[in-house]
Amino acid sequence: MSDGIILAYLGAALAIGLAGSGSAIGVGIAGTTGTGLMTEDPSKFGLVLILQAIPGTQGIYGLLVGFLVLTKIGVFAGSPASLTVKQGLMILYACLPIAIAGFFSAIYQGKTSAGSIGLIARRPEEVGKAVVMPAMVETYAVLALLSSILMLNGVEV
Amino acid sequence: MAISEVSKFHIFAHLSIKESLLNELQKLGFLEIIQIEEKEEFCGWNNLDDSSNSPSSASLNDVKFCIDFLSNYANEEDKGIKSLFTTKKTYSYDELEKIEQQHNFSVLHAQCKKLDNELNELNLQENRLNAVKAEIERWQELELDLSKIDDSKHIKFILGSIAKNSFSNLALGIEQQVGASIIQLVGEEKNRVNMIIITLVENTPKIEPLLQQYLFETFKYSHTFTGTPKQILKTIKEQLLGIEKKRREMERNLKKLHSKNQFIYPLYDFLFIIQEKEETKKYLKKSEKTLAIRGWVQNKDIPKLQKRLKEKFSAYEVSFSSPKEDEQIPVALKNTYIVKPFETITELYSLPGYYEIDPTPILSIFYFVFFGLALSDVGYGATLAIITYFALKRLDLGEGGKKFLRLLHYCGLSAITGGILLGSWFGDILNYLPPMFDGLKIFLMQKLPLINPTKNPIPLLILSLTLGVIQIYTGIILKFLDNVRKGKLIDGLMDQISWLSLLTGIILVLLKGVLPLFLERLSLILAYAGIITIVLTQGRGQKNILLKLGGGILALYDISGYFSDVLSYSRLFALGLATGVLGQMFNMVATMFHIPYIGFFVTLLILVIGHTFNLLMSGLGSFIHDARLQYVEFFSKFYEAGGIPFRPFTLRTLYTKIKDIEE
Repeated sequence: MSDGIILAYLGAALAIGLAGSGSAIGVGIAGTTGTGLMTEDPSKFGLVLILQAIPGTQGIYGLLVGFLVLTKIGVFAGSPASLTVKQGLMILYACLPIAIAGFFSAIYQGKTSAGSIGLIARRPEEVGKAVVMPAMVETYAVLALLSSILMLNGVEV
Repeated sequence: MAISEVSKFHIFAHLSIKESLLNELQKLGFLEIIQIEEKEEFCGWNNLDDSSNSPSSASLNDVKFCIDFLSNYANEEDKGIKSLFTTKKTYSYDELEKIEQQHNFSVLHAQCKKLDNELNELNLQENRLNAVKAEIERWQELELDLSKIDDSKHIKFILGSIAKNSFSNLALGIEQQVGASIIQLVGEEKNRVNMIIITLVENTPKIEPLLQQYLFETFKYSHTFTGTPKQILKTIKEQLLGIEKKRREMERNLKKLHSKNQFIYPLYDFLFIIQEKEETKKYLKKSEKTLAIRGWVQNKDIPKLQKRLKEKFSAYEVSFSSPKEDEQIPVALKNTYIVKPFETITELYSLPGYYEIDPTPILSIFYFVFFGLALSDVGYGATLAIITYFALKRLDLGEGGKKFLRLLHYCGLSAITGGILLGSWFGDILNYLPPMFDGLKIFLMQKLPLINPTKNPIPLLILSLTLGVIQIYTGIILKFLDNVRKGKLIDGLMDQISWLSLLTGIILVLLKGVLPLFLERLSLILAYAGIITIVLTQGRGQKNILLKLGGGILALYDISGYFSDVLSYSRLFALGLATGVLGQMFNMVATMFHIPYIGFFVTLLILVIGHTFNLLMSGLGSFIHDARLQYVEFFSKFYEAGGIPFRPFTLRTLYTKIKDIEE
């Protein structure tokens, strides 16, 4: 096994692990507020669930990038490509945008979702606005995912 | 565009037809009745306030109580998911009206109240018994009649618990103080022991300080049960069983009561209708003999209103007037059958003002296309489309629910299209087909698709951004048309056309090399024309000439706003790619297991769970982000929200359907 592939593995691990952790924290924050609301009004379960699920996407983006890395270096095909350290580092760096931005944006998106849950507790008619607020935060996770994919795409293996 | 035109209607009628007229208007169901203002014309008129003589004896709250109470005892098939599939019973208005006379609700209500009390009493008893049980259980090993423990004149029984490590000290202390007494352990818990001290009555004052010193907790038996703890526990158990039996019997009876008294559901609906009617009366005015009603009606409904009034009544007068600008005019959207579901998206944001543009028809095209790109999988799209198709056929939903399901149905169809375009069928499940399907596989996954995003994602990204540019242009053009419509052509030229020119110029510059030479020259002309117009005009609100120029230059900064708006559409690309890749991943994980015999089922199980998860998450994401693009990127360019919804005075029902209302 070449040295480069270890670095690529690290990249995939960071993308999946960090973005996933961020999502877990974000979903957790929104969930705690949501259960609080549901003690008052259990009928809002559906809406709360949707708002709670929104910060979950960063984890999926991270997984997506990790998966793309593993496919690229041929782990699934059974014959890992031999990478130079330079190539490995490039792949590792390509994973960083979604790892970092995914981690932080998921946490803040979770906080925004929690706020939105508070909004629908008082004004259930404003669902549309409540759902859009957390989606604003997601923009930066999307941009990070975009960068990661483009960077990854640029690495010749 | 597609905002329904409304008129104000004024009805004057003889007071004698008050009830029948209101009933008729409620049945028509398309009028919004509003408060009549105290103006000169109505000087001396009184409010029509006769809420005191409510026509119905049963109160809505009582019926609600019975429904809430009895519906807990509905038959299994009426509960849960299955209840979604049962169609609501249909009644005519006259049938509903008669229900109250046909059934004796007050008897049922009294019965429900009584049974509710009895059930509560049972629960209370049960709780009390359980509390005693918990208390006594610790003393199970004691072979003494607890009720007789204080009966003896000479001997004192002290029961209680103490920390385990203090027990021997206490025992020693008591022995030293009083000598002859019996100290016995009766069972122990985690770190406490239960004990009994038997001693002469005259010794107790000597023992008590010791008890306090070692934090002894005295147990006082204060219940009416007699016998040893074991006997008492047995009695309690029997009583608890009795309660359970009684409760079960009551539940059986309640089930019967519920199925026999289905009339409470239509009764509730009828009373609710009456209540709405009574509340509407607050808006009306009356003179000695005349009743005045005022409100809004959509112009398309006016002939129907006139016809119905003519058929049923004679002592009335109706007139219509067009709305005045300063009034709060309610907004109802009027769209074709195909576009109607997309009103949901507009309504989720906020209705347009009465004099503004209804964005729904144009939004519907963008929403449809974007969703298809974001979910972009034939399998998921087909699943969504099929589920919503059957749900629409089988479920008995209100108008809002139907609209939403139809929207989801469209979303499914759009995802199928997107999936064909990107060659995604439940991810790449076609790859796992046996070799004999290779022809089909190559056709569906390589020949048919225009873009293969996992191999080369760039074309999909460009497509997403291009769609974004198109939508932003559409937004700016709509605003321009709106300005023209309102007679502000100059504003439109300065605010919108200038930007269109600059943006077009920039795009052409970016495409340099791909385009013919004359367009390159044109691009610069367009860009400079745009910049000059913007700098010269955007500060026109300022008074000072320097501020005017400064404002103009500052406005150029908006260009970064447009840039980030376009970039925002890259989320379509990200979502589309995420759906496909996640699907591929589940396929791969599912086919990794080669367990003999059950391997196939494991694979199937993972596939079903994985793809369901992906469909839910990606579907939710597509829905939200698609809506966000409409709201944030598209609406911000032209949309004037803030309309108040048109709320017609109608027969609103919860449990039943009414046959003879107008469609």
